[in-house]
Amino acid sequence: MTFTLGLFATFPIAAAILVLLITSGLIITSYFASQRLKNKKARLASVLVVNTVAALMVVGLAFDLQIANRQPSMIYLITNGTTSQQLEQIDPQQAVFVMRRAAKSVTNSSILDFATEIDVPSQILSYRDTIDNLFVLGDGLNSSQWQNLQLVMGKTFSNISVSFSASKPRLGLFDMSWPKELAVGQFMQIEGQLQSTDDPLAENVIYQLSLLDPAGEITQSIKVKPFENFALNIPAKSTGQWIYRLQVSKNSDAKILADEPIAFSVTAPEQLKILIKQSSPSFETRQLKNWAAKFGSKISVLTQISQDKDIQQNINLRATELEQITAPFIGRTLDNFDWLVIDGRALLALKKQSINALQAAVNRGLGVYIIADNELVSAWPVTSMDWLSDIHIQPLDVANYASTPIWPHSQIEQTMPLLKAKITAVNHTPLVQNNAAQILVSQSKIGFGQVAVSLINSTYSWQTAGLSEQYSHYWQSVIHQLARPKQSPYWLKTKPDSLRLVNQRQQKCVMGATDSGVTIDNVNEQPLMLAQDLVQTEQQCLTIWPTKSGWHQLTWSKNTELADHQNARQGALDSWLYAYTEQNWSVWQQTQNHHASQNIAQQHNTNLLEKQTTKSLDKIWFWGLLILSMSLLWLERKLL
Amino acid sequence: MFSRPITTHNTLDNIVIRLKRKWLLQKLAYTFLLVLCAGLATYWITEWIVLPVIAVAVTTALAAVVFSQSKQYQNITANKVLLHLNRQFSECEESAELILLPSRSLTTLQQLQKIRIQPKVESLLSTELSSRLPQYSYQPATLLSAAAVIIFILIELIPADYVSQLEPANIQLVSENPKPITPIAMIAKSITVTAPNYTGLATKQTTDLNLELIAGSIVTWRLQFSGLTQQNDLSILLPDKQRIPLIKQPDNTYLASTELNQSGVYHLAADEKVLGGIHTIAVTADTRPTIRFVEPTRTITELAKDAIPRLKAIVSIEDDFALGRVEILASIASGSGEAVKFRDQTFQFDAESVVAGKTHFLKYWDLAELNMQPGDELYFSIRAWDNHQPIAQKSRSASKIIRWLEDEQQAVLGDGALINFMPEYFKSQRQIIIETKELIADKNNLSKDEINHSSRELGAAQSFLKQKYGQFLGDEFDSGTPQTMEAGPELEHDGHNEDEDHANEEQKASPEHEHDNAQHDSDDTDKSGYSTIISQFGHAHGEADDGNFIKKGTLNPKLLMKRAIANMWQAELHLLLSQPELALPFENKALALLNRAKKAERIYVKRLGFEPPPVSEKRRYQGDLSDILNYQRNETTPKQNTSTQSVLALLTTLNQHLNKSLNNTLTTEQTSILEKVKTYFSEQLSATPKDIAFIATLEKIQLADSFNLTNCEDCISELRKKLWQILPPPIAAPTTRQTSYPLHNNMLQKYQAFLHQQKKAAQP
Repeated sequence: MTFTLGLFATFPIAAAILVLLITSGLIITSYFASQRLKNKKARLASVLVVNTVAALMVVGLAFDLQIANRQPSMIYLITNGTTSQQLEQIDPQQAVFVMRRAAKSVTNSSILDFATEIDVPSQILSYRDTIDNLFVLGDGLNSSQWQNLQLVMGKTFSNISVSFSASKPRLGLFDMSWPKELAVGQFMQIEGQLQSTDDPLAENVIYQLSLLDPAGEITQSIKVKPFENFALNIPAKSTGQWIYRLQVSKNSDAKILADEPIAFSVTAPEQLKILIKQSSPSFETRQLKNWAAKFGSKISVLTQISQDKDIQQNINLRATELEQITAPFIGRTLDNFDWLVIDGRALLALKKQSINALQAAVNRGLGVYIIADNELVSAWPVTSMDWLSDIHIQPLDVANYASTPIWPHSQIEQTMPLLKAKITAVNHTPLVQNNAAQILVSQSKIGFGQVAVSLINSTYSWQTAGLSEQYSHYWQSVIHQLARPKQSPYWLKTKPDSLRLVNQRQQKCVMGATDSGVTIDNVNEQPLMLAQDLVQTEQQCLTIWPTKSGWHQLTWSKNTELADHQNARQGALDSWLYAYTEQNWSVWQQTQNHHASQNIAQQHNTNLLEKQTTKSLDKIWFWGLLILSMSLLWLERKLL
Repeated sequence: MFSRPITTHNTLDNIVIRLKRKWLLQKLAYTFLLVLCAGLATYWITEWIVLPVIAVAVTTALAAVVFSQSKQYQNITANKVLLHLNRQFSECEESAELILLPSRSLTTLQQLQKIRIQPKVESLLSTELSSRLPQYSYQPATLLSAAAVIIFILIELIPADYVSQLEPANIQLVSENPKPITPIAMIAKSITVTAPNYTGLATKQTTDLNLELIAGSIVTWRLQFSGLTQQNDLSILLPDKQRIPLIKQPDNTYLASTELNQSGVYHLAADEKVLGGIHTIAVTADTRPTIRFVEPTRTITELAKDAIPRLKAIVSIEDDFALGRVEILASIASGSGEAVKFRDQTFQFDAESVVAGKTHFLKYWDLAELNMQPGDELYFSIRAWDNHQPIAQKSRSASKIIRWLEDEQQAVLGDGALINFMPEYFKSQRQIIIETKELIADKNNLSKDEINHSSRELGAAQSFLKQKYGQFLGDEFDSGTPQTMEAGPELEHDGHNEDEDHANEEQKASPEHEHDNAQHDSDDTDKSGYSTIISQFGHAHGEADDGNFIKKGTLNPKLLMKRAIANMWQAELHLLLSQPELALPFENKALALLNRAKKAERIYVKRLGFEPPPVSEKRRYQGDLSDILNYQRNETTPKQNTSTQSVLALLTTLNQHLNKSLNNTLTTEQTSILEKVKTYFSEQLSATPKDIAFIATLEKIQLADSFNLTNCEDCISELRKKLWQILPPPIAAPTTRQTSYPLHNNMLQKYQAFLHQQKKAAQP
């Protein structure tokens, strides 16, 4: 650090004259003072000192003094989680910025007295022309903040040098994942890891992880070690928006070490369109029909009662819909259904034309569940159904064939009788297996559709035995995998591993909307327009910045006539989004920010850029001392 | 305070005194003004009066002392005045102060000057100098102080209504509104719960308005209120809509008393409006006495003819408070057939003791004393009353029967009671084996008759057990002889014969029986005899897979049972012939087979389940349906409006409320939901009386017309918890998956078609 005379260096004569004048003034005033205070030596000495100080201050003020700095110009950015040891690394001469949230948590450091508080990192550019060396301390910035900074800086971002001093890891949960939207009965799988502190002993501590339901009761509890993956499963109990809690405590201690909310929305059941085609009435289809009808599904049951006649039972179908399905296996009529359940005998009895219609419908997305029977097994492979050639069915020469079906999150423990046959499907993972990994229900993808062949034909026994939960879960699982995917438009689900925080950018998209429509957030009822996604043009997206934590209901409506609420409500699509507070999931945020910041620091690990910078000396002290010394001199003359 | 200056010039002294006084007054006036302002401010903030007044007086006095001692005050002297005159008047020639100095101390020149100047100074002093002297004005401060005091007095003393009259008209309108009435508040409460006398419970005093009491308790509320007027009508509205008035007592408390028998919620009312919150009454009803027989435990106790006809009955009788009366109601039946006679009699217990905290009552029955003969029977039951008032609650036990047997065919043990009286057919196979082994071991010690008797008994037991299992397998025992085992194989099963007969009667009109005939047809063609065996041993109705037990050596449980029964039959044979050694291997074999059959699980399921007959393809769909026209049936699932949905709806509303902290009033829909949930809780009240608290919360919400309950912080959160808990386990709903592409995407469809073609091309 060196001093320069600044402007006066270029005008030396003027500077010399000024110095001469001030020196003369000092000598003259000192002489008069010495005359006046001949007998008061101490007072004279004081007056002379104060007089000299005043003269020097005048010189200081008159000259444009500058400080030239050859050190690298560093910008320190203090983020959340910065420790006092890290704060000691900061050179107070350099520019220091602190994120507002971090400023709230770091209160015991004098650094904050001269640091500038900012809300977003790009605000640094409001105070500094450019950033050469950025030193980030604490948890760091998340990828969105880095992206924002990059956008604001443009090309110059690639030239900056970024250093990152990471905060110490804290105890808590991270890398979490759970579905944010699901249907009643679907299992919510909560996965994640537990991070412990960097204390070497902490790695061997076993922690208790408890999942609490909205009533505050522990529903599940497991023991976890740090950095081990864990998974918890709970079924979605009821429609609505729910907040469970994950609590971490030491195995031997009741003290809660971490407590985080798990928010998810359970949607209302969908109105599925199901066609059941059967060669004879069966308990299996009857129970299935009853269960689906209870949830408002639209069902048509065709039961063969004669060689060429079916009785048709239609449930929850409107007259207009009935007109479209008078002959289901002709033309594109099957497109009116999402899922077809057919028994083997009925499948074999289909005429060529019907099979072609079925194949075409499957290619367009129809899901088919074939309940195999002895006739189908004997007749397989059927030449007219060569499009199902991936599935191989063979009769099984055993007295009885019974086993326990297993599907994701199944809870059935009893064995059940099965059709004596063996299925081998070529390409796809089975839908249901038994303990010996034999396929009980196959799954084959054909075109956009899915076809399954089932050896299970008596799930109704679960229902009659009072195992309604398991029964419904089985069929939900099967339908979810097989039935035609959701018909657009619909809100795309939030990614399971996403963390939505308050005051952060959130994007939500509607798939398959023909026009942008309008969306209303229940918290901030300003209508929002969606914009077409540039990459996936079928998506209409919007970005919101939730300013309040908690649930936000987004209602998308095709009708842009906002005044007409009644019309806008018709065909409206709801989606729920939970904005966590900044205090929630702090460890997850820490790991995410560490990761993002370390990546950026590695990419921008150039040598520190040195550059001479000059800075005018702050003259507030000169002014202060001048006024003080003059005041003292005046007082000495007037009062004493 | 104003000390006279020591000069010889009176005029000058007066001037000095005046100046000093003015200076001091000025200082005091300003001090007073400042202190007064501070005092007034203190009064308006704190409403203190005395302290500010004292503070003003003391401060002013203190200021007078301080200022009078101050240097400035002391500096006002005659000398200074003359120096001032020097500045003001040139004729003083800067020498006016000389007049104060004694001439002796002056130099000659000064004396000359004094002589010259003294007349001039004196003449100046005699003139009006006040305008040329320093001005110490105290009037502004005094006036300001006076103004402050006057304003204060005006504000404080003028009546408020006089001020309001002076207000402009529009403000007057505002002031016409009724003065805010002080709300009625409960300042003291004491509730006395006096349980019914018979309970023996002490009177309970509480201040909690949520009451828990025994049915029939008398509750006395003693309450004290503030903010009441004479017109207020106070009462308590009880769960049964009964209103009891709160009557004012001389000590200004309000008193109400009533007897409570019903759980529910209640509230206090002032002029028909709810006062305070909703409170609960949880009433626990007095239960009837419970009677339990300790001895005899069996319903029928039989005594041998020659047994000592005495036995005792021990009964444990309990009540939640106390027992009133206990008696034995007995009937003695004697004679037989049409000559049977009944004699009713009431007895008292002979003794009473307490065993492990429970009261046991003893009765010694001596049948001879009751004039009973062998062959007679005694039926008795216990009746117990508790001490409930006014009407005691009665319980009656089940009847016990004591049978004094006429015949001597039963083995009698112990003190006459037939402990071993139990039908042998209840013996298990394992028990038969154990007893057979015992018999073989004791053979040398027993007489031949005893051995024969015991062996035959065991044979009978084995026979009964065989029949029992045989019944499960479809054997008929009407004739007393197991058909399938002893009559040998038959080609036609009884059941089928019946079916056929029935079918003949119906002239084979019913198609349901067609399968039987068809099956028999097929049986006729069975050369191996396989079907014959099935029809003999099974009740299979020709079901194909029932015969699979032959395959691969896997034994059908039904066959295992058949084999077990065959072994039992052999064991029975040897036992009846008094050959227990020969019977034992068969018994063991039968037990082993039974155990294997038990493990096979399906043994009874097959028998009890519906077994639809297989229908051959030839005969399917042959019905003539030409006359049937309507093949279509349309239905709509009715919308279910269960209590669960109401619970869920309320829970959702509460969650939203939690999220938004709404202050809105309840909508009609919300009120309806609240009513439904309240009904649900009321229905559950008998099983879970503590749920009354949730009904109270719902009432409070309805009363407040809002989910914001001010006087009940945890109520809503507790209600939320409860609602969540009563939601049933989830019944999964149908749902479909989501794709990140629409199915109608042209590019995807073309790609799909391309893949399809590729696949077709790849196939041979």
